[in-house]
Amino acid sequence: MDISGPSKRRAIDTIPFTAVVLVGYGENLYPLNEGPNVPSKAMMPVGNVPIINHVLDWVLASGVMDILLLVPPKDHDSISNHLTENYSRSTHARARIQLKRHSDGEGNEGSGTAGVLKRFRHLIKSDFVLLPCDIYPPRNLSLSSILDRHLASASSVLTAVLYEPAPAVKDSEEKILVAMDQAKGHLFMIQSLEALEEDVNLRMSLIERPHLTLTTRYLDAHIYVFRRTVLDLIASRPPRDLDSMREQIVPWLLKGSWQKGLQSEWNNILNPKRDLFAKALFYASASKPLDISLPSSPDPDGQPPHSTRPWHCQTILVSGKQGDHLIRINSLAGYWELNRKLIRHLSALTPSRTTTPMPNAISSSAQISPDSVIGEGSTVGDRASLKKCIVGRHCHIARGVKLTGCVVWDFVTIEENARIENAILSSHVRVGDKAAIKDCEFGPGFEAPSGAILKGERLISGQEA
Amino acid sequence: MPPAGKRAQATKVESKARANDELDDTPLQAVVFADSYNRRFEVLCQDQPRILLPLCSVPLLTWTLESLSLSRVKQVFIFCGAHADKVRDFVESSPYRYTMDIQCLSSKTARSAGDALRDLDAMSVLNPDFPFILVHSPLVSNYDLSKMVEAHMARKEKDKDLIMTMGVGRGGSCHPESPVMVVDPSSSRLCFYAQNPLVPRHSRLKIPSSIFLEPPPGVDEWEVWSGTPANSSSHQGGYRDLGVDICEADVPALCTENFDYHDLRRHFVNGVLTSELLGKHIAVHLVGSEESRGESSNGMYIDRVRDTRTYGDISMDVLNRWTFPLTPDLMGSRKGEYELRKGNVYIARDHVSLGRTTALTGPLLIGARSALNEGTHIISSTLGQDCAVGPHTVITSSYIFDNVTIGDHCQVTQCIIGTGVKIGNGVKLGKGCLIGDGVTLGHGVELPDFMRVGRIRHVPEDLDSDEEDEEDEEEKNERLEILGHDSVGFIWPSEEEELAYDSDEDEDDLDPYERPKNKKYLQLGRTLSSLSEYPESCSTLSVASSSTASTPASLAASDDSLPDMPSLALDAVPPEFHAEASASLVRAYEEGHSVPNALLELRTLVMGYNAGIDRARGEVTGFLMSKMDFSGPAASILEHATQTWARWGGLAEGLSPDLTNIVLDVQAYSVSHEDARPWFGVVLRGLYESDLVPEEDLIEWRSLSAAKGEGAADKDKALWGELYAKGKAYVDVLEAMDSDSEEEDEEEEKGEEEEDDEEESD
Repeated sequence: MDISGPSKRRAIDTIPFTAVVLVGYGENLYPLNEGPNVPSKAMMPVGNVPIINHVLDWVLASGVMDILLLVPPKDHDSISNHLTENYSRSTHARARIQLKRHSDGEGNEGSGTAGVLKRFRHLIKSDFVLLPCDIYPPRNLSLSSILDRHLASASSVLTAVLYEPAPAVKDSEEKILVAMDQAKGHLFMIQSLEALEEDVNLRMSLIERPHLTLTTRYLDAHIYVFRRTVLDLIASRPPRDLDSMREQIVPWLLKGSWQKGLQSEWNNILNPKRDLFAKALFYASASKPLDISLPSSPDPDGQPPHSTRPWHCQTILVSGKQGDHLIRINSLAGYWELNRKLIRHLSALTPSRTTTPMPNAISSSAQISPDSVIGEGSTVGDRASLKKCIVGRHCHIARGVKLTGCVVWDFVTIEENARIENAILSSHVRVGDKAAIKDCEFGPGFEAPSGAILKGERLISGQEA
Repeated sequence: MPPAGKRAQATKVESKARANDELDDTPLQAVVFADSYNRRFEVLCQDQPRILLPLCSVPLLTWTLESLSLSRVKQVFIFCGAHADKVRDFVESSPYRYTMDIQCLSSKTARSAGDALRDLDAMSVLNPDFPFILVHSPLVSNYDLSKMVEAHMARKEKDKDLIMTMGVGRGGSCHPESPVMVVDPSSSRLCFYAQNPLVPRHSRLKIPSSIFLEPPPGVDEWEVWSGTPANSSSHQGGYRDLGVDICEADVPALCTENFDYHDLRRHFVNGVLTSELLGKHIAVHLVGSEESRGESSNGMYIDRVRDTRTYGDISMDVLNRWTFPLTPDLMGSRKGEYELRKGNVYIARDHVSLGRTTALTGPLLIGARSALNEGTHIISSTLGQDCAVGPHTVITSSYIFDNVTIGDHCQVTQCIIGTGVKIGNGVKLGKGCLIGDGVTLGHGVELPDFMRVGRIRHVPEDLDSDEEDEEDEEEKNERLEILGHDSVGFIWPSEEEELAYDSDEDEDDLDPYERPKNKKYLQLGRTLSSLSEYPESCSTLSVASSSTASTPASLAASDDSLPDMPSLALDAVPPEFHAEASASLVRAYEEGHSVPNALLELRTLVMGYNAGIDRARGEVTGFLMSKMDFSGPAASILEHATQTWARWGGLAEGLSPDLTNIVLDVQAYSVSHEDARPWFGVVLRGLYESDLVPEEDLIEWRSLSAAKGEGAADKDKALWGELYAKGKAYVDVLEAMDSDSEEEDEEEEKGEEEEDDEEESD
C-alpha cells in the first residue's frame, strides 16, 4: 500500500542507475529493537507496510530497476522472504533486486559501510545512489529529480540530499553544520555539531569562496548519489578508511571538491581519462559548468590550465513545505513523527483507503474513527474505541478497550477495558485488562499485567512493569 | 569657485531632504577622521594632512564632503590630528561651509581612532538620540549614505541593542585589508569579524563554535563574507569593509568605558561581538541591498582611500566615471573646468599645452596650465596644475600633484609625486616610488622600485629625542650614491623595514594589517594577482622573486593584463644578491660560522635586496650541493651528504617554512648539474637521515606536480622526470618501511599535504 499515492511514471522507464539500499541495525530505536522476534529495521511497519516497501517503491517509481540491498546477516532470511512475497518476478517484472549480507565474502575490508561497498563494487556497474532503508520521502520529492540533478552536472561526483526536519524530530537527529554555495547548490562541508570544539576551524580557501553559506537548518538525509568512479576511489583506500561512508568517504569527497591538493590527487581516479575527442568537445562546448575558476597560470610552460574544476559535490535541499517533511525513522522521535504524519493523511483520505478487515471481526458496537487503520485478521471487541490509531494484522483488541493515538504492530493482544494513549506496542505485546497506559513504547513481546498503570515508560520483554 | 553651481547643488540637496521628512527633523551628523592613525601616506604628508592630498586634482576632503552632502548630512565634525590649521583653512575657504555646518575638532593627543572617539565623547557635540555617520578614511562615493542610516534605524527598531551598522561594499579587486565576516542574513547582524591580512596568509580561520551552537532563536543560517581572493574567478567579487559606520551615541561612550579600544575594528568590533557582558549588537549593511525597494539612487560607488594602492585604484575609477556624477568634468564647483575627450581623457580648458607628438592614452587627467612636450607619452595617469613634462618622457599609471616639473627622457611608472617636485632629465623611477613634496631629483637619477624620498629625513615612530638624529656617514653615502649630488631629498627606509626592528616583541599587539609584510602590499604598484599561486611566495610571504634556478614554478608569468598589475617578472632580484649571498655562504662555510649566525646574515641580505627567501634558499641548497663530493662510491656520498646536511641544513631549513621546497631546490640543482644527477636519491636519503626533511615532507614532495617537472622548461622536463623517478623510488621505500606508523594519521597528513598543494595551485 502506498499511502502517498502512485508516483508518475517517467517517460523513459529505466535509467542507468543502481540503487544501493543499506539496511542498518536500528540501534537508536530502543525499546523497539530489544526482545524476541525483533523485526529488521527494514521491516518496521509504517502504516502497516514495512518501511522497505516505501523505499523500494520510491526507487522503482523513478525508473531505477537495479537495486542492491545490503542487509545485516541476521535479517537476511526475513527480508529475503519478504522480497519473494512482495517483489517477485510476477509483480515487478523488470526490477532486478539483489540481496546481500553485509558479511558476504568478507575479506579484510572491514564491515563498515564503505568496506561493504568496496566488497560489492563488482555488482554496481553504473553511477549509483546510496540510500538508507529508513527514509520516508515527502511526496514532492521524487528520486528521479535527485538523479536528474546529478546527471545534469557533468562534473558532479556526489549529490547529497539535505532536508529540513520536522520540528519534533530536530532534536533527536544528529545536527550538522553545512557549508555550501546556495546559489549553485555546491556542497563543501558537513560537520557534526556535536563534534565541534571551541572553535570551528575552517580553511581560508573555503572561507574565500564567494557565496559561502553556513547553516544548521538542514539534516543529512543520507541519500547520496555517487559517480561510479567513487567506488574506484574507495577501492584504493586502505581498510581503516572504510568504516563509514558518511563519516569518511563523504566528508573526504566534500573536502576534495574545493581543496586543490586532494582534487588533483583524486582526479585521476574520479575522472579517468576520456578519449581526446570527448575532451575536445568538452573544452569547445560553450555550456561550461558555472564554477569556472579562471586560469591562474598554475604552472609555467606547457600544461594547459584547467578552466574548470574537475569535479565537485552538490546538494539538494528538501524543505518541509506544508509540513510535508522528509522523515527518517532511525529514532523513536522519527518513528512517531512519521506515524503522526500518516494519521494526518488518513484523516484526509476517504475511509475506503483503509484496508477493509473481515466484517465479522469487528464488533458493530466498536467505534473506529476514520483516521484509524486496522490490519487484516485483527479483531475488535464490543464498545472498543479507536482514534488516530494504526493497528497491525492479527491483533486482538478486546471489548471496552480505548486506544488513542497508538501504533500497534502485528499480533498484539489488548485485554478488556485497557486504556492506552500515545503508545507504540510492537509485535506480540500483551496488555492486561484494565491497564492504563500513556506515552509509552513497548518492545516486542512485552507484557503489561492487568491493571498496570504506566506512564512515559520504555519497556522491553522481560522487564517488570 | 563659482557660487552659482554650488547654490544649485544646495537646492538639490534641500529638495531631496524635503522628500524625506524622517531625516529632516534631526540634522544628520557625520564625523570624519582627518588623520589616518597610520603612516601609509607619510612621505607625501610632510606639509599637509592626508585628507588634503589631491585625487584627480581635487582634495580628498572635498570628495568626502561632496559624498556627505549628497547623503543629506547637515553637520560635519572633522577630527584633525596633525596639520589641523591646514584643514581649518581649507574648510574656511571651501564652499561646503555654506551648505553644511562644518566644525573642525582637533586633538594633538589622539593616537588612534579609539582616542579620537573618546575625545569626541568628552566634547559631547553629538546628538545622543540620533545616529551619526563615522567616516574612517577619505571617501569617494556617489552613494547616498542616508539610506544606510535609514536601514540602521529600521534595524534599531527591531533590536534595541544595536549600536552600530558597518557599511560593506561588494566587489572590487583583492586588497590586503579584507576582513572575514560571518553575518546572519535574516537580521544582518554581524556574528564574527576577523581581520584577514593577505600575508602572512592564514591557512585556517577559527570561528567560535558558540555562534552555531547557541544561536539566537530562529537563526540557523549564516553567510560568510570575505574579500575578493587574489585570483578571483567570481564576477561579483568579495566584500569590502567601507570604513563607514552608522553609530549610536553608545559607540563613543563605549570607547570611553574601555580605554584599551584603539582600532575600531580590531578592538571595538571584536570587543562588542565577543563580550556577552556588553550585550550590544553590530549590524552590517551591504551597499545596494536596499535597491529592492525600488527607490532610485544616485549610484552605488563607494570606496575609501586607505593607502596608495586604493588611491591609485580610486583615481582610475573616477576617471572611468564610476563615480558619476562626481567626475572631474561635472563635479559641482569645477563644472566645466575640464574637457572630456574620447577615451576618458580629461584636459583642463585653461592653457594646457600639448606637443604635436604628445601621446595620450586614457584614462587620464591633465590639470590647468600644464605643459607636455614633443614625444611625451602619458598613460593612465593624473597630472596636477602647472606641471611641465619634458620631451620623450613616459608617464604610466602615476599620480602627479601640482607644480611638478619633469625633465626629458624620464620614465615614471606607478609613482606618486608630490607638489613642487622637480625631476631632472633622464630620471628613471621604479614602480611604486613615492616622492614627497618639494623634493628635487637630479639628472640621471635611477630609483629602485618602491623607494620613498622625502624632503626631510624619516623619523621613526618611537624615536627618543635624545637619540642621535643626525644623518650618519653611511646613510649619507647611500643617499648620494642613489640620488646624486644635485638632488634635494632623503631616502626613507622601505615600508617593510620601517617596522621590522621592533615588530618582534609586540607582534601580537600589532595590527595584522600593519605588519610590514602585509603593509607592503598596500603600496601602489605591488602585484597581488599571483600572490597565492606559489607555495614559496605564499608561505614565505615574500614577493615571488625566486629566480629561475630555484623552482620551476617561479617561471610563471602573470597572465593579468591590467595595466596597473604588471607581471611579477619585473620584480627581478638584482644580480648582486647572488654574488653577496654566495660570498657570505663561502665565508660561513670556510670559517665555520654557526648556523644561526650565517642564517642571520643571509636574512639580512634577503631584506636588503628584497630578494625573497626562496631565492636565498635556492642559493643555499645550490651551494651545499656544490660542496658535496659526487665522485666516490654511494656509501661515501651518502655519508658526506648526511654530514653536510646535518651541519648546514639548518640554513636551508631556516629559509623555508615548507621543507619540501628544499627537496625541490635540490632537484633543481641536480637538473642543472650533471655530476649530481645520478645521486639524487642518495642526497634525498641524506636529507632524511640528517633529520632535515622528515618523511612526511618527502612524501609530500612526491605528490607535488612541480617535482614531476611540471612547469620546467621543455628541455629539462625529461631530467626532472628522471630525477623524480629516482627520488620517488627512495620515498616509496621509505614509506613502505614504516607505513605502520604513518598510517595512523594519514588523514591529518593528507590535510597538510593538500594545504601546500592548495597554496601551490590555488
